[in-house]
Amino acid sequence: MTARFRAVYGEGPLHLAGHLAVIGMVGYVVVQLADARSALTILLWVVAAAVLHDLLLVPAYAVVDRILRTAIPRLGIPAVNHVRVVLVVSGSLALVWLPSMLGKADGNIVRNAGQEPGDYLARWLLVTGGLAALSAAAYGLRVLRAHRVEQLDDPVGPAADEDSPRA
Amino acid sequence: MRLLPEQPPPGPSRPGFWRSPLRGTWLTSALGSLLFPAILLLGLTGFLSHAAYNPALGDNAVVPPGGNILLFDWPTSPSWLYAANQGFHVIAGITVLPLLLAKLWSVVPRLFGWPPVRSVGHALERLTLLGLVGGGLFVFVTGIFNAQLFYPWPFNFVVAHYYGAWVFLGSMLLHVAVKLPAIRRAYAERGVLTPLRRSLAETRPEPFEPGGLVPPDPAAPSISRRGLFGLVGAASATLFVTSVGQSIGGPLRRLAIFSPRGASLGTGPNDFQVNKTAATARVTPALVANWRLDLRGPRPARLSREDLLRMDLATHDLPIACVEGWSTTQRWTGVRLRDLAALAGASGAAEVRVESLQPQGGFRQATLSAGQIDDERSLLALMVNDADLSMDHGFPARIIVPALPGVHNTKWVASLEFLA
Repeated sequence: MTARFRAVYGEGPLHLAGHLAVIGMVGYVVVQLADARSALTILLWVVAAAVLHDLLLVPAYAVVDRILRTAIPRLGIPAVNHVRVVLVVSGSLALVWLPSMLGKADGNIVRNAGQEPGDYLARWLLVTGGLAALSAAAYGLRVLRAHRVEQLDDPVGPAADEDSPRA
Repeated sequence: MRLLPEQPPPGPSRPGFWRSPLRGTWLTSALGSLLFPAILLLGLTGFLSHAAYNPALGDNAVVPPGGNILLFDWPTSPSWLYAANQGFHVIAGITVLPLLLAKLWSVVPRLFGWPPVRSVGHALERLTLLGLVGGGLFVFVTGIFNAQLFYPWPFNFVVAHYYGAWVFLGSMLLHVAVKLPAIRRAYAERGVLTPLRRSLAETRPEPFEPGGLVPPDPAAPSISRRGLFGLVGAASATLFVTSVGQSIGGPLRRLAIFSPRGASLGTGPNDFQVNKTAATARVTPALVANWRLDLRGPRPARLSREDLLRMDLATHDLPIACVEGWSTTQRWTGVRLRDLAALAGASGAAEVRVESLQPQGGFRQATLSAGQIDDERSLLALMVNDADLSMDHGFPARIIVPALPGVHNTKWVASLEFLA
């Protein structure tokens, strides 16, 4: 019986029950939203969120990372992760606060909060610059230390670079 | 009969397209194991926030009543309950975003899996995955935009965010149930934490399985698995440090450099954060001139501000906490709501409907519960930090109730109607 079910449906009966339950709940939500006369727009936003993420954001970081891995010269100590950490941290800040940084909320900040909006873009650039400086300093320290070890332990140079992608 | 070719077309549907040596069931399981409890806590605090508005009372409901679940009589103690709940909800939501994105990155080859649909069961699963990914991103994006007062959509934020969470949480619970065997197998085969102990030099791809997440031809690793978690952690930590100040306040507020309520406003008694200015609420000086509080109940009365100031006044340190996650604690002085209930001949009233002078807007009124009226610290505040309320903070009088969401602490109060 279960085997025949599986042949037709492709998964077990519990799989079907669980999925029907969730799809039923989503149906209930759509009915509730229909009362709020916004179901269609919200549905559009949900699909757009997934599409923009999967077809824009993910390819964007894949491309940036590929450029990083090919463009950063592979000298003694790999620098790629020193660049990655700056891009990931600063990029996350930008992703969250982009509307504020572009001044999109300035009107509401003045009207609702009664405050002058901050110069969020400048602050983000400062934070990004600070992160880049810290990361570069950490890289510099690693290079210096490797040089010292090299001088002490001659003739063996810094550990062979197994990490960087092979051409 | 075959509608699609057996071999995928060139591009992301071909397994060889994907190269990351870190992708695999263990990595996705590990990211998901961190994300899952975080999302559960975000869901819990979200539903608590919904309950905090007492949507079953009066005209409090913003969400259509069919969505009322997990309601209970929202307490007044501890007074920081709503501030803590909402601060956690917003700050944790912002903090966890890099983890969500990393989790989605780890499974993106699945989106292009070939064939797109294997069976009826697979089709249903993909449909609910749209609810999971789309619903999840939707809830995060709407919440994060709301926290910075950016509303690029035509729908009601509260309703959309609330029901988005239903779809997200429901499909997430289902997803975890479906994937549990794969998660357990990954942990059993690779160890729960063992892959995190490996340095970059020791980092190897997980074993390849056809149709799995591991690419058939992985590139050489350029970062270890713990390095990847470190990247996510660094991003989360930075987001946390630069936003938590808007909820904690004090000197930390200055660290919330991207939050609309991150700035310190000065040292005067009324120099603290405003949710909505009098000008925006269209409450003018003319509207508050010759103000009388309209007290309704068995013994109606009209009271001037001087009448109220001659009553027995109480002073309490209580927070104002907004749904956007920011909060600020101030010292409020005013008449106890229970004294006003007694004056109106409505001691032990079941609820009080508070209306504002504000001519329009969903939050120009709010209904408070018996427990909220009865709390000794619930005030019709006239003063803050020993000074008269400013117009922006609700002059001539505003509600301050412990643990109540900010917008229900009605400003520019016009009338109190006690209901038995």
